[in-house]
Amino acid sequence: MTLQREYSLPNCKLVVAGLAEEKQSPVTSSMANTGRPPLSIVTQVECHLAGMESPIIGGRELLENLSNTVSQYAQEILSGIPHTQPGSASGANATSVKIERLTADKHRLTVMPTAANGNGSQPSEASAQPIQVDLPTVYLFDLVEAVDQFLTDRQTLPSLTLNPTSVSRRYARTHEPMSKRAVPAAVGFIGLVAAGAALFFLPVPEPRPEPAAENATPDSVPDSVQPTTPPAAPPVDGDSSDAGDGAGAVQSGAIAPTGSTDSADAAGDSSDDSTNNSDAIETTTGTAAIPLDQLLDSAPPITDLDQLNQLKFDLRDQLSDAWDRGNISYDESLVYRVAVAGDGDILGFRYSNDAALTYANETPLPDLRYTPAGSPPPESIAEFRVVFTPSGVIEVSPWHGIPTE
Amino acid sequence: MQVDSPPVGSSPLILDTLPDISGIGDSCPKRARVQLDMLMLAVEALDLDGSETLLKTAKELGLQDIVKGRVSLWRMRCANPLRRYGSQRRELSQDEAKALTLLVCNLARRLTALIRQLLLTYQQLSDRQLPVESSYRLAEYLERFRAHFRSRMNPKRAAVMEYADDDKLNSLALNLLNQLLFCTGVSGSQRLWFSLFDGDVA
Repeated sequence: MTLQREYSLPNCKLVVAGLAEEKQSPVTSSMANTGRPPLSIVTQVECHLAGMESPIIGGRELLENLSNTVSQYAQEILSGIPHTQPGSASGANATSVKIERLTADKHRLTVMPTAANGNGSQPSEASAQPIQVDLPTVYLFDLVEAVDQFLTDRQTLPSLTLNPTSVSRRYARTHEPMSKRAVPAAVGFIGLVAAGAALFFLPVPEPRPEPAAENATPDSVPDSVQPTTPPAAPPVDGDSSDAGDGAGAVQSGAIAPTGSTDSADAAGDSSDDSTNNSDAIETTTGTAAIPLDQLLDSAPPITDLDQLNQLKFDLRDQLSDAWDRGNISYDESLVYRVAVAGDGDILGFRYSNDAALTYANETPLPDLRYTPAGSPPPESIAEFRVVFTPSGVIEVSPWHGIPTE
Repeated sequence: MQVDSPPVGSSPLILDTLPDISGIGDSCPKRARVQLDMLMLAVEALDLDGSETLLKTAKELGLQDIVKGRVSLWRMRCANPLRRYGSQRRELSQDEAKALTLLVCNLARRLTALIRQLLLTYQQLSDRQLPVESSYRLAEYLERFRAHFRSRMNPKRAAVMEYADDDKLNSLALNLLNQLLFCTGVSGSQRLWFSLFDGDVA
């Protein structure tokens, strides 16, 4: 008995023609009562798609391939995860039907001509070249729906049913991400290499030696002052008693440092002179005095009595707070000449006796000294005589005495 | 009221149309949770009464043991980790996912005509290279979807930030419309069900 089943949708018509199997006569007879004997042998399949002049024609194999491919592709649209199970792709090259996505709403259906396709009535012209058609999503859905209706129809090829399964993790993950996943890692690695290469050509920064800066300045200072006294004149040994008080000493450096006892104030001179010279009392030790000298040269002294007193008390409190009296190891008073800015910062100090030089680190002065970095020098300064006594008392008095008005 | 206790008695018969997925435990993977919520979002953008219809349909399908009401539906949808009040820890059992799948497909089937019309319109517009705003119905759907998405998704999540752009959100909405179309068929619910676990089964 020849049968024809038609599954019709707006844009797609699937026609399956075939025969009912005679063997199942007891069953068919019962089915026949319901009016629809089961179609179990396919003779011809036609798939009419809107937009195509001629239908796709084939046999049972076309039907199977079409339903497999179309059904998997529909699931791919739903999940976004491609179905590329090696079993169906390579196992049998049975997939004569392929669908690929062109754009978001265009899908290309390709039907390869196989020998099997030709087992119907028209072998020659159909197998000439692959049939290709671009379907909008709605058309594709109609094709899917036609196939689904055919598959769920128990009276047409009952052996063919829809068997959807989820794609295994194995196939889903390895499909496309491999190239995509490599991109971030590669970009990172290339970035690292590029940065490494770029930095390779940069010179290694050398640590800047601290003393170098300080040695540089004393050289410049004496050069400017030297014309009066040649540097190689240690025996000049100026009596220099008159220079003992500050005023002359401040802009000094002029007097040969070596012989000067308490006055020469050879701050400006290079430190080597002072170090090999035991009685250069108030010479520099390189750290404090040099900027102080310049300050003393440039800044006018503070003469306001109230301000001087205020600064004096501030200085004494400041020193007293910071002085660790627990480890006094000297038995002689330490006398310093300390320069203070108008806001109370200790700008620098000099040693006024031997002990002051020897035990300088036991006083809080080096810690409290404030070095203005890059800021303009203070407008005015005050100088104080600071005495640390072995008994733990700090005496502070203006270096130039109390100004008289 | 003990929400956490397993449902007493048998689950609704209609759930048996969808087989249990083995190998993933009882909870659904993240992508499934996101996908179900997104499809419902698209349904709500298509149908102004969407959320009411969802509840009504649940009752008609005999799913009221699982979808007890508005709150329980909301809690299930909050299993979507992209939601503002969603959480990665909230789980969705397979029965719940089945119920949502059946709901989505049922609603999509009712909206078949509209979905087809919108997709055909979009196809005609893109063939002529016209903007989507040229069609009132399509623009309305896209606008509602964008509003729903922005009001309910957590903008701090990277996956949501990707859609900060209107165009990106439009293409997501259109993609969901495509997917809803495939839910309308005779095997739509089965196909959707299996697609939820694509790439997550052993």
